[in-house]
Amino acid sequence: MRDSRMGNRRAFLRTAGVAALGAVGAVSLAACGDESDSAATNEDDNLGFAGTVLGYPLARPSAAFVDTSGAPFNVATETAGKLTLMLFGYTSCPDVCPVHLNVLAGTLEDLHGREARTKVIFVGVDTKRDTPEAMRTYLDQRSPDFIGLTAAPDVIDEALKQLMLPSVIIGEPRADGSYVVEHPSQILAFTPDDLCHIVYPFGVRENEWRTDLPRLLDYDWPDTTR
Amino acid sequence: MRVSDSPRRPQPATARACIRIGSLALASIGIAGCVSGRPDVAVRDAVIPVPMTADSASVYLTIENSGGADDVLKGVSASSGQLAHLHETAIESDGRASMRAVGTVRIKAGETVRMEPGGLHVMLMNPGELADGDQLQLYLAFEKSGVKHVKATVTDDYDEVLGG
Repeated sequence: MRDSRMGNRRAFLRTAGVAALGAVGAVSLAACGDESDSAATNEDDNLGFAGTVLGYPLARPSAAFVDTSGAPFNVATETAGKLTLMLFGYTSCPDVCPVHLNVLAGTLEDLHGREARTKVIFVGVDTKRDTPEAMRTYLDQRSPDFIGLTAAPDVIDEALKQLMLPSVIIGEPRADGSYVVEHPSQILAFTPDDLCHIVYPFGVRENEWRTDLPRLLDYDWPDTTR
Repeated sequence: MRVSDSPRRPQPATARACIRIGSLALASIGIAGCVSGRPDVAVRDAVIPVPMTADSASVYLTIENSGGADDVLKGVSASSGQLAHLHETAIESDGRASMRAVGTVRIKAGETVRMEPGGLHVMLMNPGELADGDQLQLYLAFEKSGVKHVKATVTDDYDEVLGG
């Protein structure tokens, strides 16, 4: 990490938020004998996107999620070919989740055409409180088009592992019954090639999404899957 | 010899003025004033993003201490009587977000503390329905500066919430 960036809180969060994924990507590149010695955390290597480009793309999860109507929802098949933004949070989340969801809702309201049909998937990780009904009520505050998914804790854990995201931690209940929920703050972007090449940290603005979504639809990603 | 050329007026409270007077060695009172110093706290830019539930709302604001001594924010309350807690979100290097209650927040002399998404915020409990443009009076209790008022505006402009 460069010192000059440390002073910029946003840039720091942006870089740090995906450091783990970036490191994995860099290792993969090295293993493939790629000439590039660049770390995926270097902002200059992010192709002008506001997120962090992964050295090695991730597949859409096929975990056994359930949608807000209670029906099974396989992300890999249900959203195949569609630009999809996926994040993990909880309905009582006061800071990170509402900011993400409002920024995305505001962005999509201002867009037209294909990019306006970007799918947004919010996975509720607080399985006690994030029931399908609670998820629907919560997401409808911003958009009836947002897809809400839940699953048993072990299914969510497995999906997070596959997506190389940090695990969820649910704290012990306090005297008043409240408890801490720790969750990944990143947003994964799955592009029409059904891969996630880029991860967005917390703090991305509407104008950055408005610039990035049309590019994500058409970007010709180098084939790193061979 | 009397220090007759030193006008008898109250010593300026700001640190900069103190240093000036001290360096001229005009009045020992001025130097003593520097050592004790006083905080000068202002609260501004209070915004509440339209909450997604009626259970809680986050308030983001800026506290500037342009004085010569630290002050400590001890607590916050709202005009409508709701409970308000000081909270801090921490985002770890792997992106995991967690939140904890914060007892107090120190505002150092000459420093500005910005409460913003992904960091410090005031969590209002059970604020009820809040709509874009609504305003709420908040009271911030400081150890030395006493209670400061600020009007928080509810907004659906998230670029404003995230800061220019």
